[in-house]
Parts: sequence; structure tokens; C-alpha cells
Amino acid sequence: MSRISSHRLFTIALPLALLAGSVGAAESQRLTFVACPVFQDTNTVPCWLAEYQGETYFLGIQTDSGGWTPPLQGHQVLVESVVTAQPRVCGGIVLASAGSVFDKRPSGKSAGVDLPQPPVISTMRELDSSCRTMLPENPRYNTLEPRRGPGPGNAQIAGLQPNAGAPRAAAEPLKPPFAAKTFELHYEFDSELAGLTINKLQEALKYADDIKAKAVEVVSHRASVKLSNGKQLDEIPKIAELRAKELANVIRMFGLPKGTELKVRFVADAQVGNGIDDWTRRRSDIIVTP
Amino acid sequence: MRHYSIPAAIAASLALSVLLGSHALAQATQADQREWVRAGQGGVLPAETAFNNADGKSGIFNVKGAVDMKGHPFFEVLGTNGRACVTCHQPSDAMGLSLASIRQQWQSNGGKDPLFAPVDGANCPNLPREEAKSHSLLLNRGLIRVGLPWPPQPRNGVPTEPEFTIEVVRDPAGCNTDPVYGLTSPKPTVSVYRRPRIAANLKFMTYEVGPFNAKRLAMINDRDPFTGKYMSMNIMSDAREPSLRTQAISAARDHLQVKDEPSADALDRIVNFESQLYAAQVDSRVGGSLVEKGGPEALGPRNLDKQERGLGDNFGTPLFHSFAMWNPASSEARAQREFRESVARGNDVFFKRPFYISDTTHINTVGMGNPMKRTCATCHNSNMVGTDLSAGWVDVGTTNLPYARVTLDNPWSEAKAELPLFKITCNAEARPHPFLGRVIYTQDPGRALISGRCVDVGSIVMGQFRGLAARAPYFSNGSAATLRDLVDFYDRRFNIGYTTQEKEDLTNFLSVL
Ligand code: HEC
Ligand code: HEC
Repeated sequence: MSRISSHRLFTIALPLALLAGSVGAAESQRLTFVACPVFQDTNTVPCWLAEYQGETYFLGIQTDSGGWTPPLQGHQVLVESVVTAQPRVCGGIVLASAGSVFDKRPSGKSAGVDLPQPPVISTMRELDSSCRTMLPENPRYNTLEPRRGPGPGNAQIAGLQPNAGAPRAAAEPLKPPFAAKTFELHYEFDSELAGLTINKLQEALKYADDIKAKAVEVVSHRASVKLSNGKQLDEIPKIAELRAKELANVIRMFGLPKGTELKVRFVADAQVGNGIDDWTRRRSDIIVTP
Repeated sequence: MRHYSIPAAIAASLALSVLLGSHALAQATQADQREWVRAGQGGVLPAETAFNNADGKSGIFNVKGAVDMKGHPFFEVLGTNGRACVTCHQPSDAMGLSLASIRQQWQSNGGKDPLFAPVDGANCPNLPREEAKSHSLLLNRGLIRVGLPWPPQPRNGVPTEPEFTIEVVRDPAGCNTDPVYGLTSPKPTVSVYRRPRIAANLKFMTYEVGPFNAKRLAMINDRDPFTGKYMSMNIMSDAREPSLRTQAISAARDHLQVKDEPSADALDRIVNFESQLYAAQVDSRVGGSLVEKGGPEALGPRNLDKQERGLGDNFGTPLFHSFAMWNPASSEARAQREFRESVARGNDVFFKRPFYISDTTHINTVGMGNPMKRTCATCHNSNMVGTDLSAGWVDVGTTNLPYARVTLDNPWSEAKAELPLFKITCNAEARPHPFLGRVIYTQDPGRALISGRCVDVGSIVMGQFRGLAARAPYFSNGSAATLRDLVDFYDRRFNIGYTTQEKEDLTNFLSVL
């Protein structure tokens, strides 16, 4: 990209960023709630909806694994979202991400419009057998063009070759002086499995190995969510400990370089939620020190 | 051909007919006569050969040529009970073990056949060897006892703390409550009963991967202690063995009752043999040769050798390739033509016909939602073998209630529950099983016996789809007696609503693999 165009891009991006930053106004457009997920089939892939205070909201569509994680029936779902002005999809007001770690590609289009990045959702830990609403295909909602349909994919997605997923041999060894680095892993509410951000752990372990770190420290946190109805929803008391234990086990199984010390701690008090970026506090930090 | 004394055979078949009813006995004797390779018999296993089964013929192909079975550790008696690996991995049964062969051995030799060694060829080692009912799980469902230590052993050097307790709710076989062999014995053991899996086509099953498990995200794959490599974790119902080498060591210990671990040389020869061997159906009774020139690229053992591992849940590289040349088929005989067209349609049903996949751990829970609208090939996605390319343990409901097949005791029939039933109670802080919660009833906790995890209860590693016709019954617990039964299981389990035609097509398709 030439200098000029990147500069221009910058000047255009700035007001936009300011706009996004001024979303104190948009706080009213945040929507955070717990509800039963509703499955609405279409002539292609199903839509995921949820009802809150008498209104139907659209969460997202079935996708490939690894991008968004749609809800599970048999459980309630926690939705942390921003309300959009997009045309309804599958009858629901379209909710979008309030900033998340998920796949950035649109999962498809509805009536020709790209679907937004879906909201952050968490499958609640315990079962709720009342969450079983499945709605059959409805011709009115047959507007989806999903990136992946209900059958096999369109082309070969990278298969598992030997060593796939293995940290690649560093092209050039890193040179000292090394800095301490922190790697952040995020979680679904009440979950100790750092699903979609587990690549951060891989990065942390690779960095620890590259610099033959003096220490790798795990610090796990517990958070609350401020729901749109004003209530604070706390994660289970043990969750920080479980997160720390889980990560420590994975790190031990992977193995650290000789001489690298593993330190593990957790903060059991729940950090108070603000209803804006609560998902960022359901977190473990991995601090790698040279 | 074996020689046996008539009285022994009569006594044995009488005992069997009492156990099975004479109908099953007739089936075992006529339609499906198998060629049995006896441990230590010597002779040569040809590089390429075929064996009869009820649906046609299955074949094996050894890329390194014929094997002298004399002195070969896969075929020789290595331990103290007269068995070899081949005892449970028979060339005529696509390197698995069919119920037809098991019953044939019982009829020929009764309980003294090494297959019926009490260690795991009986419901429990302490039962009288000569009685058929001591071996009812093997004779009725083709199941071998697998005794696993409880609590689980450390993995990758890290101790495994179980998240749940196990109680024995029902124990028809008596082993789990036995004071010497059971859960409360000095060496606490959980006995589950499982089908032998196939010792061929293994390049598709076990291979080196990266450290992080693609599907179970917060998990490190097991390493092969001999090479230090991270492995695919796709062999054994519970993936407890990382490599063919560690598998062979434990098989020699548990099934062959060896005094000393096999030598490095013997292990090399076993692993090499398993890695050179391909097995698949080669001939269909109605459909004719499955390996003609210009025929489907998925069929026959030679094509397994030619093909490589890969993800086949896509239209670019469909896992069982194309059956277009059979749709329409150009055979002379009508029955053959119709069968081939049915197989081609069956592949489409398998590959493209969506249904609502629901309440399966490690599939619905790995990012696609519950339920999801997908096909058989979503779970069974690996080129040529139909397993899951990323470590494939899944609770599809074969062993967990409410979906597992159970025989309910009742006053009107002799049929009795045969498998043990366990009650799993998860700790309050454990992540519960995502669809069954914290109290689970199961015939086989599967992966959970190794991982100690509540979420893994009832998760079983998918077995390969090859040579199926040669080795009924199906699923790890032998709960589907025929391929049609297996299709019916899915139809019920996911409320698919297959038409009779679709069921038949799918069954025919599976029978030629
Ligand atoms: C008494 C019967 C028996 C004998 C003898 C036996 N096996 Fe097996 N084999 C089994 C059973 C049962 C399983 C499945 C166990 C499970 O799922 O937990 C199995 C699984 C396997 C598998 C895994 C295949 C897959 O895809 O999962 C391999 C490989 C194998 N056996 C090789 C051997 C070798 C090598 C020997 C000899 C050293 C041997 N077996 C002896 C019964 C036997
Ligand atoms: C949710 C994932 C899932 C779906 C969908 C699924 N299966 Fe399976 N399948 C499994 C699992 C898990 C096993 C292993 C279960 C066992 O052995 O107890 C299995 C085993 C099998 C086997 C091997 C049996 C054996 O004895 O080794 C066949 C054949 C099979 N499935 C066919 C099908 C067909 C046909 C469909 C579509 C109707 C299908 N499966 C859909 C998960 C799935």
C-alpha cells in the first residue's frame, strides 16, 4: 500500500474511531441477557434466536466450527451484544459483537447484506431442559446465503498434515534483550476451557521456549456480568481456581524448557461487571518473564 | 480345515444352541463359514487374498508382499494362553473379529479354544471356562473384556484426578462387583466389554500431529514415548494408546498374557506388519466385483494403499470419492445394476443428506451448536475410513442411557440385560456432561475412564468403516447386530425419518466398504 493511501485511510478511520469511542451513547444499545436459545430452521442453515422481554433477537447462524460458537439447546445462553439497525434476520432484531475474539469473516449474508460479527455468547454451565424450542423452516426466513451450507464444505479445508498445529521452527531465533510478555486468554461465562483463544497459550509457550524464560506465570480471574436488567451475574466461586488448574495441567503436559519455573495463582473475587466489556475480564493471563 | 473330535463339537454346539437359540446357530454355521488362522499354525499369508462373508468377499493387500506366518510375532503364540494377535484380528474378518468366527470357534473347540481364555474371553476370569454362559458377551455380541484401572493412570506424566465417582448399578457378568477383579478389589478395576477393532489401514488412524488437539481445544495430545511425537489419538475406543507400539505392548500383556514385554524386534515386526496391511470388501454377492477397472476409487484395499489421509467432508475431496460410474450402472444383470445404483445413492445419503445432529458431546459442543443441521460425513469425515480426522471421541449415544440399547428384564422372556450398567456421579465443581448433567448411567464410560472427565462420559473413538461386511456386529459394544441395525440406530437417535429406500441404500453402501 502506498503512503498516500494509507494516510488517507488513517484520516478516514480516525473520525470513525472517535465515533465508536463516543459510544457512551451506544450504551443504551448494549444488550446483555440470559435466555433460552431458539433454533429456527431455514432452507439452508439454521438461525439462532433468543427472546428477551417479549422481543425476538437474532444471534447468528450455524457455521463451521472454530468461528462463532452457536448456543446449545438444553442450556440457557448468556448474550453480550450490541443492537444493530440491520434488517431483521429470521424474524429477529440483529445483535452483534461488542468486540470479541471470534472469526472476523462474515458467516454469510441475509437478503444480500453481510451478517455482522455475532455477539459474545456463553453456554450456561448447568442444564436447563426447558430450553428446547425448535422452529421448523419458515419460507419467510429463507433469505440466508451462509458461507457454509448444511452439508459438506465447498472445498478442501486444510487437512491435518503431520505436524499441523505444531509450533513452526522459528525462522530466526529471537535475540536478547527479551521483554516480559503477557498473553491473554478469554473464556465463556463459567467455563474453564479457554476455547477460542487457546492459540494465545500456544504463542506463550512458544515464546517461553524461544527465550528460555525464567518463569511462566498463570494468573486466572473470575468476573461478573452486568445484565441489561441491572443485575450482576457472578461466575461460580471456584472458576478462577479451575481456570488456573486447567491451564497449569495443559502447560505441564506440554512441558516447559528446563529451568523455566511455572507459577500459578488465581484471583477468586469476582471483578465487577459494567455491561460493556465484561467478557474481557473472564480471563487468564500468562506472563512470560525472561 | 480344523480337526476336532465329534463329541466335543456336539457338546459345544449343544451348549451354544442353548445359549443362543437354534436359529442363531444355524445362521452361524451355514451362511458365513470363515477361514480361521490359528495362533502358531505357520504357513504363508499371501500378499493379496480374499475371504467369504455373508455379503460377498473381503480382501487384504499387503504392500510388502506375502508374510511367512511361521515365527512372525503377530501370528505366533507370544504368551501363556495360546493366543496370538491374529486370534482376534483375523484376515478373513478384515483384521477384526466377526461374531460368525467367534461362534465357529466355539462350535469347533468349545471353551478350550485360546480365544476363550478366561482373562478377557470370558465375562470374568473366574468363571468356568467350559461353560458357554461364562462367555455370553463374546458369544452373543462379540465382546472382549477390557479391564481398566480406576482411578486413571497419569497421562503425559501428569496425574489425572477423576471428576466423578463410579457405582455399579447392574452387573450381569459379575466382574465389576467381584472381590478379586472388581471395582472394590485390591487392584480396583472397571471392566467394560468392547469389540476388537481392525488392525489394518492404520496410516489413516494413527499418525503424528501437533501438540494441540484441534477439537478439544484446551488439551495436549498424547505422545508416543518411543518417538516423543504427538499422536492423533484415534485408536482404541478410548484413545488410551498413543501409538501402535504402545498398543502392541499392552495387547501382549492384556490379551496374550506374556511374561515379558515383546522384544524391540518383535514390536517392530508387529507394527510394520500392521502398517503394511490394507483390508476392505472386494466383492459383493449382488453387486459383483468392487475392484474392477474404472470402478469406484474408494473401494478395495489397493485403493486404500494409494490414497492419503485427509479431510473429506467437502465437495472438493469427498471422503468416499465418486460413485458416478454406478449411477446409472452399466452392468448386464439387473440385480447387479440395481444394487450398484443403490450403493451410489447410499453414498449420497451418507455424504449429503442432512439431519439434526443433537446432544452429542465433542461434536455439537465444538462450535457448531446444538442441534446442528449436517450429515453423517460431518462426524465421519476422514478420507477413505470415515473416522474423525481430529481425535474422534464422541458421545453419540451408543453406551450412555437414554440412547444406548438395553434389554429390559421382563417376566415374559429369557432375554436379560448382558452389559454392566454404571452410575457416574460428577463432583459439584466439575463441568457437567453437556447433555446428561451430573448423574449419568452408562454401559461404558469410554474416554472418561482415561481422562477422568465428566464431559467425556460415553465418548467413544469412532472405528473405521472398512471391511464392515466381514465383521458384524457393530459399535464398540456390539449393540448393532447388522448394518441395517446400525442405520436404524441413527434413524431413531436423530429422528432422521429415512425412507425405506434410503435405509436400504445406506446399508448397501456400508456393506461394500
Ligand atoms: C483377545 C482378543 C485380542 C487380541 C488377542 C488382540 N487384540 Fe487387538 N484389540 C482387541 C480389542 C477388544 C480392541 C479394542 C480395545 C478397546 O477399544 O478398548 C483391540 C484393538 C486393537 C487395535 C486398535 C485399532 C483401532 O483402530 O483402534 C490394534 C492396532 C490392535 N488391537 C492390535 C493388536 C495386536 C498388535 C495384538 C497382539 C499383540 C492384538 N491386537 C491382540 C482385541 C484383541
Ligand atoms: C455426532 C457424530 C456422529 C454422526 C452424525 C454419525 N456418527 Fe457414526 N459414529 C459416531 C461415533 C462416536 C461412533 C463410535 C461409536 C461406538 O463405536 O460405540 C460411530 C460409529 C459408526 C460406525 C462404525 C461402527 C463400528 O462398528 O466400528 C459406522 C459404520 C457409522 N458410525 C455410521 C454412521 C452413519 C451411516 C451415520 C449417518 C446416519 C453416522 N454414523 C452418523 C459418531 C457419529
